[in-house]
Amino acid sequence: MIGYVVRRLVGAVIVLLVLSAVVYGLFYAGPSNPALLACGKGCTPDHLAEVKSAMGLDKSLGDQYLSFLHGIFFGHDYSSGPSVRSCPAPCLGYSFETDQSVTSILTSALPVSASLALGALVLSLLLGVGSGLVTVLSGRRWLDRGLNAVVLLGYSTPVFLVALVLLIVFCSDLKWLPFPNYVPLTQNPGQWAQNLLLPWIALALIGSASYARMTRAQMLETLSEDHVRTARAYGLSERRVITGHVLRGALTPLVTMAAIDLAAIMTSAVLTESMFGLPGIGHALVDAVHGGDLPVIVGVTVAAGSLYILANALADILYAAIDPRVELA
Amino acid sequence: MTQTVLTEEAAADPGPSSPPLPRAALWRRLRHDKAAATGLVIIAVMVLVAVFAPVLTALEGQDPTTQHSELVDSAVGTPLGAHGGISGSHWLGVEPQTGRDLFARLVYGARISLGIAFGATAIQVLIGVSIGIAAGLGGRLVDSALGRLTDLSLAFPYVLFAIGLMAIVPDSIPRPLVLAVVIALVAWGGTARLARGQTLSLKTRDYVAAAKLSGAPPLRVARREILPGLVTPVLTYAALLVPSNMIAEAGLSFLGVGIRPPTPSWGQMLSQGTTWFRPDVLYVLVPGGALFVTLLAFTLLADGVRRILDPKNTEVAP
Amino acid sequence: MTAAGADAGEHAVIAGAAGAAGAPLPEQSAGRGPAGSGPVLDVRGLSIDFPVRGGQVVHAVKDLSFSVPAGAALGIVGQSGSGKSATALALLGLHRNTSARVSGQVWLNGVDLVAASDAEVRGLRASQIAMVFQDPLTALDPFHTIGDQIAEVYRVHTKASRAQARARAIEVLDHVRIPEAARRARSHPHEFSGGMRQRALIAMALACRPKVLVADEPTTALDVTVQAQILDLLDEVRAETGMALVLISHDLGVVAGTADEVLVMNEGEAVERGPAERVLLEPQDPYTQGLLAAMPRLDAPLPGRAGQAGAEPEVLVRVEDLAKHFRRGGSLLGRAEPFRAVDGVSLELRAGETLGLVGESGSGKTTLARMLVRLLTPTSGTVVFAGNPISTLSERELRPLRRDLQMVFQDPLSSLNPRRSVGETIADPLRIAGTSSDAEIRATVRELMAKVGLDPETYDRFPHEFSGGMRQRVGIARALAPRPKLLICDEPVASLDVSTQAVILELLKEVQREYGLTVVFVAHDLAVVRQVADRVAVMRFGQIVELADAATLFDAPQHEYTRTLLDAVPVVDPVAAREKREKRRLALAAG
Repeated sequence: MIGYVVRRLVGAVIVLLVLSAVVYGLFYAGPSNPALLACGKGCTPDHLAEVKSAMGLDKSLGDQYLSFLHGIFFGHDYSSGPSVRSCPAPCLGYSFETDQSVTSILTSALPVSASLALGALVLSLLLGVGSGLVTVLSGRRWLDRGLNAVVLLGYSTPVFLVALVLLIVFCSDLKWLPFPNYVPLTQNPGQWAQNLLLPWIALALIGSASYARMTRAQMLETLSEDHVRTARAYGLSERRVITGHVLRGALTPLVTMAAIDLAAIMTSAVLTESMFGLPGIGHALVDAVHGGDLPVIVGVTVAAGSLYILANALADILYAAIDPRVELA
Repeated sequence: MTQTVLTEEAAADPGPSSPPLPRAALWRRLRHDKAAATGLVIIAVMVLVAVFAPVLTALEGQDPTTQHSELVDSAVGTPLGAHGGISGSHWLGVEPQTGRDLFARLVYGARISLGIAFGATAIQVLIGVSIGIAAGLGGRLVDSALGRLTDLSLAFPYVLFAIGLMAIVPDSIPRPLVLAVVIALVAWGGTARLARGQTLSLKTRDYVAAAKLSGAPPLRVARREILPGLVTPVLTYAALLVPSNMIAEAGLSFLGVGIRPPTPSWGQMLSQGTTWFRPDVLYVLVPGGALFVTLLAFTLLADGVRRILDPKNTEVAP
Repeated sequence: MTAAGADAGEHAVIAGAAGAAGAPLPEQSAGRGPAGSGPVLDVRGLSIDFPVRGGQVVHAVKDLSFSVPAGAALGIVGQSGSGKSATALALLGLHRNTSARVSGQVWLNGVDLVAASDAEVRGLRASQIAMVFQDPLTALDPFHTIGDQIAEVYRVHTKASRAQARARAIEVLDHVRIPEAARRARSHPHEFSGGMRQRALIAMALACRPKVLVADEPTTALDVTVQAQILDLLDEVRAETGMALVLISHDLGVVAGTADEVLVMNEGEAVERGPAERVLLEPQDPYTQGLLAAMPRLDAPLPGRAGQAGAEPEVLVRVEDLAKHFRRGGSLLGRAEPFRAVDGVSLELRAGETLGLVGESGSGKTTLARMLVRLLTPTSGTVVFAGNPISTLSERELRPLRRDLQMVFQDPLSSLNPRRSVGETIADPLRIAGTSSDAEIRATVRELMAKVGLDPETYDRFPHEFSGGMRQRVGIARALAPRPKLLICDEPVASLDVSTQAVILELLKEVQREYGLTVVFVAHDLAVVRQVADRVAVMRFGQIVELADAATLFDAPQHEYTRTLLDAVPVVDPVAAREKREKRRLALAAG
C-alpha cells in the first residue's frame, strides 16, 4: 500500500511539473507580449523596460521557467533599479498591476473558494445521494422516472442560468435574502452561511444530478450482484442486506468522485463566483484576464492545476484504501 | 461542479459484444421513445434556424450588427416601446443600449453557439479516438506515454485553462474557431480514456486474434475489428459532449472571454442581459430560454441514444 | 476432524433409497434417516415460468416432482436450458420478488415454501436449507471477512452472541478443512484460492446446521483436482451431519460418485429418475442414453488411431526451451518477480499427429499454444516450424507463413466478430491473401461451410443467429480456409453441451484426416483428450511433467501429478466413482 501511495504521489508530481512547464511556456512564449500586458495602460517605454527586467523577461524562456520554479521554493525578489518588490516563498509570480504577489492574491481567494466548494459539495451529496437512494429503495417506477427527468434538467442547465433565476427570485422579487456579499467565516459565521446559501444551492441543484444518477446506477448494479443473492439466500432481511452488503459497494466510488469534485469546484466555479460576486480563485483569474495580468494568470492556473492533480491522486489512494479488491499494480 | 465532468457511467457502459441492431429496429425504437424523439425534433429545428439565419433575418429585414440608437432611450438605454421594443420590423425587440435587433442576434447566435458546440465535439472525438486506439493497440511504452498525456489533459482545471488561453490568443484568428479548438483541446481526455478502455477490452476478444492469424496487418485490424466496436460507446458519449461544450462556450462568453460583441452568442447575450433584466426581461429570457431548450433537447436525445443503442434494453418496445 | 456438534448422532438404519443394485457399501449407511420417516424435502408439481420481452413466457420448469429422504443425496442432471438452476433457486424461494412465476409445492420441514410468507421463508433459509453457489468469488461479499459473513448468518438465525458466532465460524471453517481456520477467518474472499473459497462457502452453509444442502454446480468453476476434493468434502460432510444433499450439475460424472438417486432433466421436465446405479449404468430413457453415449469416458476403449505406416514421420514443429514470462506490476519502486507462465518447454510435433496438451488453470497450456502460432512472442527459447524460426521472425517476415498456422478458439461467442456475417468471417483470411477473385472466394467459402456441416445458404447470417455448436463450426471453417498445416485447438469444446461436444470432436477428427493436419489439442478435460490424441503432454506450473503416447499415459502414468489428475477425473460408473473416492481418501490420509 505504501508503495502504491508513493508511486501515485510521485506520478502526480511529475504531471504537475509538466503542467507548470506547459502553462508557463504557453503563456510566456505565446503570441502576446507579457511585459506589455503587465505594464498595463499608460505604459511608457521606460516603464516597459523596467517591467521587462524586473520580470526577468530579458532572459531565455528556459531560464525564466527555472527561476519560476526556484521562486516557488525559495521566493523571488523582483528588482528594477531602486525599487525592490519582494515575493516570499512560495512565489508564484508577481502582479505588477495590482502590486502584490500572486501568492497573496491566492491566499485571500482560497478560503472563499474553499467555503463555496465545501458547502456546495455537502449539499450536493445530501441531495443527490439521498434522492438516488430513495428512488431505488422505494422501487416505485414513477419516482424513478421523476428522478430521471430532474437529473436531465440538471445536466442541461448551465449554472449561471440557475444562479440568475435564484438571484431574481430570492433577492430581487421575494426579497428573502439580501444580495450576496462575502463575509469570512472567522468574522461572522451566521452571515458567512447566509451569504453563501444561494451559491451553494445553485451549485448543488446542478451537481446533485450527477450524484443522483450515479447512486442510482451503482445501487442497481450492486443489487444485482451475486453476493447480494447469497445474503438473501441465507435469510438476511432486506434491510440488513442493503445496509450491510449493498451500500458500501455501491457508494464507495462516489467517495472518490466527491474528492475530485471538491477540487473541481474550488478551481472551476468561476461562473458562480462571478454571478454572486465572490472573490474566489476563479474570480481572481477572470479579473487578471480582463486586465491582461499575465503573472497572475500563470500563477493561478498552475496553483489551481496542482490542486486538481493532487486531489485526483488522493482520490485514487482513497479508493485503493477502501476497496479491498483493488490491485495495487 | 464543472459540468464537463461527464457521466462516468457513459464511460463505464462499454458497448457489449452483442449483435448490432439493424437500422430498422433503431429507427423504430427512436420513434417510440418520446423523450428522445422530442429532443431530436428540437435540435433539428435549431439547426435549421442556424443554417437559414440569413434567410430568416432577410425576412425580418434586419441584421445582427446594425445599431439602432433611435430605438433606445438615450438617457437610460432601455428600449423604447413595450416588451423591449417589439414591433413589426423587430420581432423580438431590440437590445438595450445598442438597439441591435434581438431576433437577428438570436438566430445568428444559434449559428455560433451550435457551430462551436458541434465543432468542438468533432475535434474532441477525432483526437480522443485516435489517441485512445493508439494507446490501446500500441505496446506498453506507447500506452504509457499516451496515458500520461491523457492524464495531463484530464488534470487541467478545464475552465481556468480555457479562460487563460483565450486571453493570449491574438485577435487576428476568428474567435469562434479559436473557441472550438480551445474547448476541444482542454477536454478530449474523456473521449480518449473511453476509446482506450474499449480498445483494450476489444483487443482481448478472440476474433481480433483470429484476424491476426489470418494475416491482417495492424491497421486493418484497427479499422475492421476495433473501430466498429467503438462506434456505439463513442456515439453515446459524444451525444453528451455537445451540450457540455455548448455550456462551456456559453460560460466563457458569459465571462467576456469567449465570443466578443458585435458577434452574437447566446452566452454573451445572457451576460449582458443580467444587468438589464429589470427593465427589459426579454433580453434575458430570449437567449436564456433558447439555451436552456437546446441543452435540454440534447440531453434528452443523449439519454435516449444511450437507451436505444443498448441491445440489452428490454424496456423499449421491440 | 471435529464432529459437527450434536448432529453426529444420526447413525441409523439404512433407508430404502439404496436401490436394487446389490447391497450398499458400508460407508453409505452412516447418516441416513430411519426407515419410514417422511422425506425432508418434498417437491410436488413445481412449475416455473419466466415472462420475456414481447409478452411471451418461457416455461423453465414443467410440473416437476421429487422427494429427498433425510440424509440422502439426490443428483439433478441437465444441460443448459434444462431448468435445473431455476429448480435450485426455487428450493430456497429465491424467485420471490422477481418476475418469475412459481406454482406447485415445495415442502420443507412442514412448510410449503411456495405458499409461505416472506418472513417464514427467510427463517427457513440457512437454518433448514442452505445453498452453495457456483462461483464462490462473486458469491461472497468482497468487503467483509469470511469469518464475519459466517458469523452474521449464524447470529441472524440463532440468539448467539458475537463471540459465540465467531467461534462457530471458526468451527465450521475447521470442519471443511481450511488450515489455520482462526487466522483465515479474518481474511477477505479474494485472498483465498478458488478451492478454499468454495470450502468457505460450504462452511457458511453448514453454520446453522441445516437439514438440506443444495449445491448448484459447485465445482464447475474449479480445476479437476480441486473439484474432486470438494465433492469428497460434500460427501464426507453429509455422512457426518446426516444432512440431505441436492447436487446439481451438467456433468454426469460429478453426480455419479455422490448421489444415491439421480434425476435427469430436459427442457424443464424430469425424463428419468431412479437409483444412481440404474440410471447411470442402465438408463431407460433415450435422452439419458444419448447423454451417456455422448460423454467422453476414461474407461471407454481407446479409439483406433490411423497409425503412420512404416517410417518415422517427419518433425513439423520443434520447440526448444520455450519460456514466457509476464511482468507483474510495481515499476517505480522495485521490480516484482515475473510470472513464469511457460517455464522451459521442449517438444517435437510430428506431421499428421494429434498432440493433446492438458493441464489445470495456470498450467501454461494456453500460453504455450498461443506461442506455437505466434500470437504471443516468447521471452526466450525457439519455435521452429518447417525449418522457419517463427519465434524470432518479424511480423512482416512472418506474414506469408501465417496461413499455415491456424487456431480454433474456445468461446464461440467471442471468436466471431458479431458485426460480420459468418460467410465473410470465413472469407476473411482469403480476402486478406488477396489472390482470388470475389466469386472464387465465395465459392470456396460455401464449399467449406458445407464441409463443416453448415448450410451454405446461411452465408449472410450473423453469429447471433446460430447456436454455440454451429458457431464453433464457423470457427473451424475459418481456420481451414487458408489450408493450414498446423491447427491448434484451444479448448474447442469446453463451452459446448455434452451432445454437441461429441459431434464437434467427430468433425475435428474428420477434418484432420481430410486435410492432413497436425493438431495440438489443448484441454483441461482428460476424457476428451483421450478421444482425440495420439500423444499427450501434461503441463503444470509452466512445464511439461509427462509426455507419452495416449495408451501409456492413461493406463500407466509415470508422473505423480498425472496420476493425481487421473484419479480426480469423475467417472460415470457409481461403483467405480466410490472406489476412486476411497483411493483418494487413503492417499490423503497417508499424506
